[in-house]
Amino acid sequence: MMIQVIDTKTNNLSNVLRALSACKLEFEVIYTAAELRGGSVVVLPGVGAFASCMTSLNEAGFSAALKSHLTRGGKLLGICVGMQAMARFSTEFGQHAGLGFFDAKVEHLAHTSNVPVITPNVNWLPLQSEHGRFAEFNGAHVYFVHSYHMCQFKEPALIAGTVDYAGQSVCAIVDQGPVIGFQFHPEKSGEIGLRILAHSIALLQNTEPMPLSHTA
Amino acid sequence: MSKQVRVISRLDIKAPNLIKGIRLEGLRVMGDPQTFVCQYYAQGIDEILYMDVVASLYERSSLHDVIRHAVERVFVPITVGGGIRSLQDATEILSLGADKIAINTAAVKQPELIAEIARQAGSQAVVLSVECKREQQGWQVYTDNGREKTGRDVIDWVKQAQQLGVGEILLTSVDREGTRKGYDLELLQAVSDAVQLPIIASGGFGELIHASQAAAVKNVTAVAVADGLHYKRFTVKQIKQQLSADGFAVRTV
Repeated sequence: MMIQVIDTKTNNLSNVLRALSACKLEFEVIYTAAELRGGSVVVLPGVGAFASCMTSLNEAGFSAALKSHLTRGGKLLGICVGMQAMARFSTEFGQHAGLGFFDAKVEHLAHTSNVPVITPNVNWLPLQSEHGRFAEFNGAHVYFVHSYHMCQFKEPALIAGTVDYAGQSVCAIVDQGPVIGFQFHPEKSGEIGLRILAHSIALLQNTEPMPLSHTA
Repeated sequence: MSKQVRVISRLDIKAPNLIKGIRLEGLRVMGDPQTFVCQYYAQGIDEILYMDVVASLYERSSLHDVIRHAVERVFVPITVGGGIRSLQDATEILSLGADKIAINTAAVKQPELIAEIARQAGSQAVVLSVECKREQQGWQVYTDNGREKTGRDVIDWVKQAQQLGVGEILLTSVDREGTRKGYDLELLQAVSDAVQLPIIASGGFGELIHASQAAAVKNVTAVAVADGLHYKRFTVKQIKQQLSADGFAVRTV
């Protein structure tokens, strides 16, 4: 199953590509929705601001196309802001609509905490993922660098991994079958990160497509 | 849950070589940085920090090669500082695969550059590098590897930089750099009290206990170690074991 990586014009693209190569995976980089191939595993990397990520997705036609891609058997892996983009909306610098694949929103870490929080959260934190398809990585340290996080899920069962940051349970992995997202950076999380990346691609390649009525 | 602390390897680069000096002067060539970095990666280093101490335009492409080689083999965050004078310089470094840029001289001369880079690449990609020397009262900001006075007070400067959108502070004590006498804990504490930003303690690591002393300061989330690793006096694992024994959470591999 083909892997297609969207160039969201953000700086972690080349790192994600090198990580995929290190996992011995083949891929192509795509720039517009017209290049999407039926049934492919699409990787959506992202760092920086939510709005600029969405703008770049909208301009290249991906926002509408990804939804139909998923209904036609395609798969999606979002990383960092690429995962956040799959929420309904974000409150980073105003309110911005996301792709809406998860009925959740993206909020500043300090806005959802009762205690002072140092942001950005720049940390290696141990995954709590006892249940679900990432259970084998429970306890693994992965690298986070973010100030906003996905929260207020309508279906909390879609959270496949969390980390504790400043007393707050922060969503680290979302998994709803054909769509997986990581808040952390597997491409910067050492050898275990590469294994998590390879694992997620393998999961997506072997997951049955799910009708999108299942999503937000 | 106890505070998570990262161990960062600081490599001062005079491209193409890793060098080491005392108080940022008296440079000694250590060898090919890639050899060192690959060892630290295998030992479980949490982050790599390259500081171009010459930062001449002449050897810029050589620094770029250092980064290019590193990102092929090392899958942990990489920060690059030294000689970043413009948004374009920053973008270039980030596009090579570095995760963050550290900026000092240009930020002091042109503080709005911080905001400009943060807007483009995100605050998380902007580390403010602050070279500090003790004064009778407080600390003064220096630039150009501790050679040039700025007349600016460290505390005022970090507060301003926080407003402009830096994501982290790399706080280097020029007085302690290369002395192995321990981090300047009073400096770390003063900056920690002034801003709500993660701080990387730098300059002075000489004994394992120094890492824990710095980590005990509230906003210090990382310790930078240079010659302690380069001269193989300690391993990454030993430093983490000490931190862990003193009650800090560390990443294990």
